[in-house]
Amino acid sequence: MLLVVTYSRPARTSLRNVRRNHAEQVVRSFGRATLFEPTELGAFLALRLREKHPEAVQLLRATPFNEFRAVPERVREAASAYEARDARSTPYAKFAAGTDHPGPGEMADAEL
Amino acid sequence: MRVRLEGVVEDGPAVDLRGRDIDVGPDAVARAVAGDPGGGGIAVDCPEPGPLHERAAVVRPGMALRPRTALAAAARTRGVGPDGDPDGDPGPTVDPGRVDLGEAKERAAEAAESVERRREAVARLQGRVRALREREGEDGDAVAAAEADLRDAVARLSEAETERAAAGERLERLRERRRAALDVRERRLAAVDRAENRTRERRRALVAAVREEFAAAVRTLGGPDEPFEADPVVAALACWQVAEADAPVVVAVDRLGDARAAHERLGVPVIRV
Repeated sequence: MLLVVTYSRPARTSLRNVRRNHAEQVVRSFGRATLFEPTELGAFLALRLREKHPEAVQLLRATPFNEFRAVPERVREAASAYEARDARSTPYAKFAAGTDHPGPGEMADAEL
Repeated sequence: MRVRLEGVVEDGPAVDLRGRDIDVGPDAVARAVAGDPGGGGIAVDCPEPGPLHERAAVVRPGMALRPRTALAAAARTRGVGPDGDPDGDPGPTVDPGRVDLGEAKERAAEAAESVERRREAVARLQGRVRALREREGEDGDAVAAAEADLRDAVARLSEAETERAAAGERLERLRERRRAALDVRERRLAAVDRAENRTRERRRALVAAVREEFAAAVRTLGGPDEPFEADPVVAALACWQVAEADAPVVVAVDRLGDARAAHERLGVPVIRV
């Protein structure tokens, strides 16, 4: 999918107009950002917006997220275990210390 | 105020320009009030026009008016409502410029394609060399020539890979610069939105401060109970009744009678046309 993010009021207005006229290409709308369908028409709309407001439109590609493919098991397990913790106030770094769970720094350095 | 027109001078807070053999329209009079050459030979000596003049300098049939905006301006002439003008953080004022990724992206895509093509060429030549070597009694020259082609192809592939890496790095650097520029734009946009919200809130407070007075004025002018649904002429006159002004309003409707009556009713200087 194509994520269009706007950074000025005129660009935001243009995005709203496109959104209104091509509702069928819109997957999800946020205030000044819209996720368009991964079709040629979606791309056309996104590129047109960037042609109109080159300095204030950002295009990103977004794909559905499959954590079973993209994320190592230890990270998924750490997330479940941390959410199931007993003491709500324990920060993650402390929670992970002395366990097999990866520390925040370690995860920050590891690309998906 | 003092109005000069065709050698005639009129003083006082209520000047009637009707019934004279002259051709000067309401807009010309309003321009003269604002201190510009009005045209038609009219000049008006008066204090600076205030905020309500920007909205309703002339009251005439068929006029357009945004009643809430006008009423907020009327309230401002009296200094009611919130104090000061806290503008808050205006956000970054320097334009972050534009970072164009187009060419870099194209080059990165081309470099990747070129690597792909050359990798295929290497694979093809590897196959060919293997096949020639395996064939019994093959001429040694043919094998050597194929091996030389393969060496060339490998060299070209390595060149392309270097180019692809460079193009990728360049694109990444530009992307980071662009991200930084967009951060600046984001902060600017947030500041603009905040300023607009403040303006809206300020206007709401101003309107609230004089709403009752405005509603009463609308009713005495024969307007509806819901004052913001009043006809623009009625709403404009009611705004002037709420406002304080030292510069005159140009009245081109009959509703209030002559200049003196209009001045007494509105409590501001009036030029009747």
